[in-house]
Amino acid sequence: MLLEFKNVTGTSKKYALQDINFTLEAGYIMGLAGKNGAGKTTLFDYIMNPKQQYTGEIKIEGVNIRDNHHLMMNRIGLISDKNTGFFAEKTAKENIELLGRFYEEWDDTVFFKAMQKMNLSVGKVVGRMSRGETFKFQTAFAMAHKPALYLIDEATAGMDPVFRIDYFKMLQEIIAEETASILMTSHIEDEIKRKMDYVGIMENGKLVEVKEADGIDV
Amino acid sequence: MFKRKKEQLIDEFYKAFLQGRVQQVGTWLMVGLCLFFEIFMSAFPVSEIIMSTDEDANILFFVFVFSALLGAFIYISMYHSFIEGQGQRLYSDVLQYIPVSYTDLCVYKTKKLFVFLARITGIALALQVLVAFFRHSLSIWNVVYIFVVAFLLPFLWTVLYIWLGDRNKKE
Repeated sequence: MLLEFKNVTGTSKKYALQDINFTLEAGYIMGLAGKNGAGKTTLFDYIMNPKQQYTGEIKIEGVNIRDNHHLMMNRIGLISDKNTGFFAEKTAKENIELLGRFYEEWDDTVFFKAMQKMNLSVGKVVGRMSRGETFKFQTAFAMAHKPALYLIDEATAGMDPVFRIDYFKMLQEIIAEETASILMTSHIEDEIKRKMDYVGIMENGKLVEVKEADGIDV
Repeated sequence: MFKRKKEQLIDEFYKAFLQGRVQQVGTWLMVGLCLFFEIFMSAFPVSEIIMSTDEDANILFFVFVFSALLGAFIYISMYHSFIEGQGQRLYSDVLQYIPVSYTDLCVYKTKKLFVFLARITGIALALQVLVAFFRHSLSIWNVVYIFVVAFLLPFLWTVLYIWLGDRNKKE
């Protein structure tokens, strides 16, 4: 089991999740759908933010993330507007020189190849990138440290339709080796139906349904 | 993968983080004023006063305490802006997303604090000795006075302040 949410209930009053239970095996893409404020991004925050207060367990590859947050960051690739972990005033290359070395399995070659594939210059200043470019950069960064779990939050919304097709091809390549999984949120109905293996529907902080993507009514 | 110590990595990271964020003009102004007053106070002819009447000794005592308080104020304000404040922001903005633990950052911060205090104390001490040397003859009493006022008392007060602050946070 790559990702497991077991009876996860938030204890803070604001944006709390309620009794979330699901598992995700390696080699699959799971989409999270729901209206704004349903709890999709909050669910990501429960994984990423060590200060989140909740009962229950979140495990990645069988390890409880609460007890090993900094080690688990080696295993997670976050692609999101919320990811403030980059230096906005520095270029993509300068960012990886500073940040990449913290990761156990960091590979520069993977980063440069991915950037080239996505047609994005490594000399571009991160703070001057468009939303779509920022997500491309974050994707290349995530790929370079070889995470087991990719968390992608509304990334494709900022991409042009042509590149979006290539982006999903790239995601398919990532999961093809069955060593990684992808959990992503999206508002694009067609994308959820056609590109995901499973879809979880969220409402008011609850995961009300998890189904195979084919034929699901979003 | 570079085979460097995590602490060195955080150090480089911290410097990069601080670039473009030096906005503590107010802090620097206060530190500058305090440093000026401390140097001014240290210019009192300590040995002459000690050798003279009791009234002058009382004045010296107030000068002594006031100067040391200013010294502690310098350390504490710099601790807040550069070590504590920036360190916390560094973790919540950046480090929580990468594989570095908060403990690593705390160890780094503590070492950084001691290095920082040693540097500032060294500069203050050198300046005060210089001022004392030019204003009046430099005696052993001046050196003792400067050492206690510019280093020992402010340092101990700062350490006490940080320790009490950490204890309150834990409670």
